Amino acid sequence: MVLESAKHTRNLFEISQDKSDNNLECIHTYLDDSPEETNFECRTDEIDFAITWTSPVTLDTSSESSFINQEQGSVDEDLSRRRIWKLIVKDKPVPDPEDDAIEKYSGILNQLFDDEDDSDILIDILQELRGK
Amino acid sequence: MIESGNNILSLHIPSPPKLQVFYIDSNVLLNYLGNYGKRNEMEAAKRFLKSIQDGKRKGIVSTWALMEIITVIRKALALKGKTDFSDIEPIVDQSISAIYKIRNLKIVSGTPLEMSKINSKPPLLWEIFEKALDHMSNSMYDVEWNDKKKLNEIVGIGSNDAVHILLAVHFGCDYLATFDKGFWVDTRPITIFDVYNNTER
Repeated sequence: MVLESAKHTRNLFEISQDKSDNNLECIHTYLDDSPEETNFECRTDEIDFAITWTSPVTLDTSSESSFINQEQGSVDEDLSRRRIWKLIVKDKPVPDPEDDAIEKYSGILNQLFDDEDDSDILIDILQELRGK
Repeated sequence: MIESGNNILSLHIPSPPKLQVFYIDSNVLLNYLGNYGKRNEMEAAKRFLKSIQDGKRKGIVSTWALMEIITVIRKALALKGKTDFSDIEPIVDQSISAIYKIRNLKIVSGTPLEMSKINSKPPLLWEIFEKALDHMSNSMYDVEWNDKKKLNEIVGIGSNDAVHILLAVHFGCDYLATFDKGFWVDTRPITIFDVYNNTER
């Protein structure tokens, strides 16, 4: 559900924060073209960071629904973006106990890189990324 | 010890051996996802990851590694002529999902989302970076001629390598599992596991 909603071009997010333990208590998502309201219960310490799991979310920081950094009393775009990423990661896939993922998914990129020139392309790019 | 009537049956149940913990380098996962040109590498990556899936070893993947993998796949697809976001991102999603689907593989965060402004403790990233900088600064390196590229290269610990090593140490791993012949340092705080040869070095 999060993945689907995040694909909309313009989402507004509103956050309420549980001040007692500094965890996100509830996030509401409002979609421009949908009257539905979606509630998410999530705690920051339960969520991992930084998977680019879906399309980047367009955040309207000029709206009243923007996140407020309560310590500074101002809109903190970076902070709010981080929270959106955390929200998205909530939907990460989980292993199927009956599934042999290694056999099922290994080599899934082979068909995309099957020319002779592609030999080791992924590792070569990684090495380049690491300055080697 | 189990008592049954007047008989006493003494059972010795040995505690299970401690499983070794492997920090998994990005190249292991990339070889699992696809290496058309080097099937042996892919088979070695599969064999290694299977040992984790089967519970014979413990394996962790850092979000730092996942970010590298995402960057690599995006660049590779762009090199192959894919320019549309909608063509690239589903493949990235499938690839990362294929990693998450491996049983017993733990994804850990080593990045600065501890919300330092809210939590009192400093962000993990900066702790890791500080240690990685110290490690890099105190490691020796060589300058070697690369005949293929026709240029001199630094052979030693790079910035990404240092972060991976320090993350592995931070998460209490026994080994850093990699295909990389690098991680060449004079003093390594963690043992390197050569996935291709299935042995430590």
